[in-house]
Amino acid sequence: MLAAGYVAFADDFTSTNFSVTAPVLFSASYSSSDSFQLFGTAAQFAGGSTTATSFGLHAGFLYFPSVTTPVITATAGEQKVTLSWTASQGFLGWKISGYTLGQSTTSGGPYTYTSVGNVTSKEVTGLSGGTTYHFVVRPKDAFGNLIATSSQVSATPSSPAPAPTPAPTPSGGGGGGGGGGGGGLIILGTVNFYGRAYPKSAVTLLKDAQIAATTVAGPDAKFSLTLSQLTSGNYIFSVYGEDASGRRSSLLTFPVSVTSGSVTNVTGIFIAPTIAVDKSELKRGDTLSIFGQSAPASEITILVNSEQEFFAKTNSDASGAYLYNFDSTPLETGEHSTKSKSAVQGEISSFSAAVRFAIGQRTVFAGPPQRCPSKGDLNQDCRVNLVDFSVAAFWYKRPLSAAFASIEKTSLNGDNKVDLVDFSIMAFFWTG
Amino acid sequence: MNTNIHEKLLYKLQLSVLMFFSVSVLSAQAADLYFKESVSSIGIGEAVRIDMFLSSVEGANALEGHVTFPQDTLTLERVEDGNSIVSLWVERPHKTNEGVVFSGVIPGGYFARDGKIFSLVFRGRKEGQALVSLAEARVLLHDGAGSEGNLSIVPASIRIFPASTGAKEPFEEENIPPEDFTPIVAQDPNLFDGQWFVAFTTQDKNSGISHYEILESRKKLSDQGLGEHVEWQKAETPYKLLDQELTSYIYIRAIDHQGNERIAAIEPLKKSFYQQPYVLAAGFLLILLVGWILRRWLHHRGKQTATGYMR
Repeated sequence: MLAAGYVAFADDFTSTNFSVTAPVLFSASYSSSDSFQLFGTAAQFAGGSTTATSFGLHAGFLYFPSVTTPVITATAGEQKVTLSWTASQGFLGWKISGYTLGQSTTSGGPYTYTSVGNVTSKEVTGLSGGTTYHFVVRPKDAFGNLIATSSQVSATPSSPAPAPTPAPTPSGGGGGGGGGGGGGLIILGTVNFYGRAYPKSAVTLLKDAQIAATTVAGPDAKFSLTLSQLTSGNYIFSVYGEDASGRRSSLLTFPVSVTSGSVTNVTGIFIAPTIAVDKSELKRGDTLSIFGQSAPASEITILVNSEQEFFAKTNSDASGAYLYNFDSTPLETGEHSTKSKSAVQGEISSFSAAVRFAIGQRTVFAGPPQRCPSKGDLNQDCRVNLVDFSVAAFWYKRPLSAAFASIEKTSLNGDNKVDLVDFSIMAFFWTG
Repeated sequence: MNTNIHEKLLYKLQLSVLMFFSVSVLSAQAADLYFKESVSSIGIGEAVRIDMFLSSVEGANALEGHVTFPQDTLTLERVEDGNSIVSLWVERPHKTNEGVVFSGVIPGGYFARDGKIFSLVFRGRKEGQALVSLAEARVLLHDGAGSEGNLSIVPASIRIFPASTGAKEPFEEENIPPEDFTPIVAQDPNLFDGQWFVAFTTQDKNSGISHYEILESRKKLSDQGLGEHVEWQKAETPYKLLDQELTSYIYIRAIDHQGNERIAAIEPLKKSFYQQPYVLAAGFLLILLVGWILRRWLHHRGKQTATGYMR
């Protein structure tokens, strides 16, 4: 992260014949008064690229610090609302230092903001029963600047229960015998989920790692799901989507606390884009097509991991599909990976799972879409679930058979034993 | 009594200093495992609940270790994994000679603060200061490679006094059964020599799962029948099925620490020999054949009788 007031010059390219100094950042401090606020500027090349047979020059400021927007949960209680949210993930220097909670009785705001510290939950008390309250959460960077805003979540707290009326004194003789209490009655809770996946895509919801519900997103990629009959307690919910080509997204996981008799709303669920490449190996200088699906008309940020990280942006079309042709000239020979994330209407997803490719001496086209998890699928049924977990658990801390050692090599970390690392890999590729 | 008050004040001061430095460290770590006690001091014979939590804003999906405590000053009474963020236990937290060993995973990762892992209930045994901490603990990041995250540990410190401190018993009665669950019947060449097994797991949002029991039955059992059945076997997942023909009903009972239970049932996956369509068809044909033969025989016998009368 650049400190305030700095002027920085970064040497991107140098050779015996030429030198390009870029980018140049001026005055990255914030100036403000009661009537204006001025943000620092970043100078960059003019748009377009210059190429020659011996070198390529890519214009533009190719680094995009970003932050994921939190998934936010609201549970109404008696004159209170309990809020929780996932921790925002900062990239390229943005480090989250805390959160501000916005509250309003008008949907869409304006909100009254309160700094709540670096926490991921907050109980808002002293609310009026029967009034609907709307909340947003805004993460702050290391300098306290607000850098993103979550989706709005709403909840209507209940009024306090009226004090019980004293029973009339029986007028002699008999009496009713009493009702015996309500022992055994369990009051259950309901959770509503709202989010974005891909247009008309299958969305799967996991509850504590087991499939609990599925739905199909609308043409605008939005989906909603409801789970009822939940006992009071903490749940770990996860969602994933499957794009038009059958590729699964990475899991998006968030904790939700369910309260008896209450409705909990979860908003801001934004499933990461799917991603694929057209070549598993290509020659340096060839173009690599990076593509996948996200919400329609969203801004896609693509990251190519190398010794140096490369960023690019493109937009998805009306069907949510995106394509970026990446010039591999800057990449060194060897293994690389790429991943993407999506932003639309102020919401920013987490990064997708990474897809690997290599810069080598030949061109190898990638096969058809990989529908099965690349790791963790021990029984080769294209799922990573309780069965795979059971198989791995059986071999936990035991000498492996020759047959299972071969599976461990290809589907887990290949160290010829089953330990916590292998379970961590399975947890990453989990499908339920 | 005055000594007690001074000791309590000193102890609180020590704890505050410890917490201050621990919290300062927390913010720089990839994951934090910390303990939170229900009360800071107990008398001998009194109980304290100590919860272990995970905070991991960068995302962690697996953790293991063992909880250490001085066995001369504290007696471990209960281990409860109710309401845990850990969905799947590789090793459910349990007491060993080393302390309380645990190993579990959170599919999809945990990207938040203050996620409860499990609770320990201790009873004061001898006067003194008891530190409940972790050894050989590690938390793995949700990065697809099982990379180990930087870990900060904040222990709990309990003061045990000879006299009662008035600490309440940290137990609450509840009647909520474990969560509903769906067991999976499967076979795999790398497990039980390819024989059929059943995999199951569930959560309990209160006292935690105590254990599982399994019952295989040729007959479908009613709720009452299941309650009265005495052939329940204690089981752990994965469980190798006795009936490898898969013609039995399978019932799995999850029981929490307070005796509340949830039963999951699986219908027979295959029909028994007598329920096979071709066997039923053959039986039907056999009945028809026997009927036809009988009718022919009766008809023939009737003819013979008539001929005899004619004679």
